[in-house]
Parts: sequence; structure tokens; C-alpha cells
Amino acid sequence: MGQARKFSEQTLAVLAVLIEQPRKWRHGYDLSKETGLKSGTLYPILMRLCDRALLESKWEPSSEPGRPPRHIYRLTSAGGALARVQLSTRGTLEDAVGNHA
Amino acid sequence: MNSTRSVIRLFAVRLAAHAEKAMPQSRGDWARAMRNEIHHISGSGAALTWALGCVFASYRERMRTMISNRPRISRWVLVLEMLCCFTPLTLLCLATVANLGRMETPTGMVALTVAAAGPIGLIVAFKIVVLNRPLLTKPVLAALCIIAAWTGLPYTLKILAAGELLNHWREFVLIALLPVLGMTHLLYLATRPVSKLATI
Repeated sequence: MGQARKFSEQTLAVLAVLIEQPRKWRHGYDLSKETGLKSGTLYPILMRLCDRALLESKWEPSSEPGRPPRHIYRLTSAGGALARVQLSTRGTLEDAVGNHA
Repeated sequence: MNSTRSVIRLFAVRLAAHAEKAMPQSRGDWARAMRNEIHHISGSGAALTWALGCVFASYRERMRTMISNRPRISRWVLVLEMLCCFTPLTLLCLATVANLGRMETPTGMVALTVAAAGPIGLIVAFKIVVLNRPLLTKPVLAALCIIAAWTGLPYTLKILAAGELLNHWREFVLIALLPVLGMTHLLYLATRPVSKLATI
């Protein structure tokens, strides 16, 4: 039910980056760089996506010695499916607006 | 230049640590995730921007939790509140019972039913707050609503109609206002498990 809700532009930007390689685990900082979102916007989005079981997360030990482990993220299958629907809807809308203009 | 960078980085790390502390406990993993990430950011400026974002995210989550969660009230505070709300009316009830023979029957009965909210409130408060047994049945909740209304309305209407609120505000507070407030709070508590609300 809740999944039918329209996502914000920022959430769609996160989903768009994650859906490019759905099975690849991503770091928060990488996502921030790719989406252009600051950590203060990105992390609340990641938390909500995780709460809704659209995103999975796990800890990854750092490859560089002396550095703490990192939290990594990727879409769940439900998240992937929803991202495709949401992004295609946005694409269709943008096309419609573009054609109209 | 290098020292400036290291100061900025140190400040960023401190900020991220503050963000971790400010984050609600339920989001502890996320706070650690944001904080750890700062150690993988090379530029000092970028680290500082990241840390400021962490603080923003933590405050935002903290505000969300504060708004959406029920306040946690100490059980002792609840006990004290209930005693303040219902003890004066309970004393009035006892006085009414002791002097029932000297009163006219209708007046005595009205006084008794109004004052009965005192002991009833204390009993319900004891069950909810001390024994941690929320009363969830609708008939009980409805009865509590009726008792609260019957306690507050007659005296309030009487005193307002007579225009004597300023002269009798103490009685108004003890007989009508406090019991109604106490009963309203009990009704609120009765729909929620106290174990999640109160801590000792």
C-alpha cells in the first residue's frame, strides 16, 4: 500500500543510481557523489528505503588497514521492481512534458 | 596549510561523533555508518561537509522520534500526578460519606456521585500505573468518560453560572479541573501499554 506512494526526486535519484547495477553493493559516500545528495539528505532516504525492505544493507570490513568497516547498500528484489516502475513512470511523465513543450 | 586541514578534519570527525550521539538509539547502526564513512573521505572540506550532513540527518531523525514517539514519563511522576489529581476528591468523598446523614438526600447523592471519581480514579490509576494493567475494554473506557464528565461538568456549570469562579477557583481546581485532567490522562494511558511508556 505504502509502496504505491510517489517518491521524491531525491529518492528517485538514489533509486536510479542503485538500479544501474542492482546486484552491486554501494557505499554511502559513493552514492552521495553519484546522486549529488549531501549525507544529510541521503541517509534519511536510505533509512526509509531499508525500513520498507526496499534496500538491504550490511557491514563490509575496510580493505585499508586501520580504517573502520563501511555500511554498504543494494536494492532488494522488491526495491528493484519498485524502482523500475517509479523510474519508468517518471520517464514517461518527462517524455510527455517534453513532447508537449 | 596541512595543520589547517588536519584541524578541519578533526573538527569533522568530532562533528560526526556528535551526530552519532544525537541519533536515536534505534538508528545506532546508521549513525555508525555515517560516522565511519568519514574515514574513507580524502578531502578535509568534503569530510566537513559530510559531517555537517550527518549532524543534520541525526537531528532530523531525533526530531522525528520525538514527534512520533510517546513521551516516556517516569512511573513515579505518574503516581504523584494521580495522587495530586484524585486525593482531594477522595477526601471529599470520605467527608461526604461521613456526613451523608446530615445532608438532604438529593444533594448528598449528587455530592457522593461527583466525589466518587476520586476513589475510582485512584483505583484505576493504581491498576494502570502501578500494576501495569491497561484497561482496554470499551465499556470501561466509556464509563471513565462519563465519570470524568459527571465530575467536571456540574460543578463547573454551577460555578460559572453563579459567576463565582474567581472567588472559588481553588475548589474549582481541586474538585473539577484536576480530576478531569487526571481522568483524561488515564484514558490516554488506558489505550497504551504503560510498560512502553513509563520507566522506573
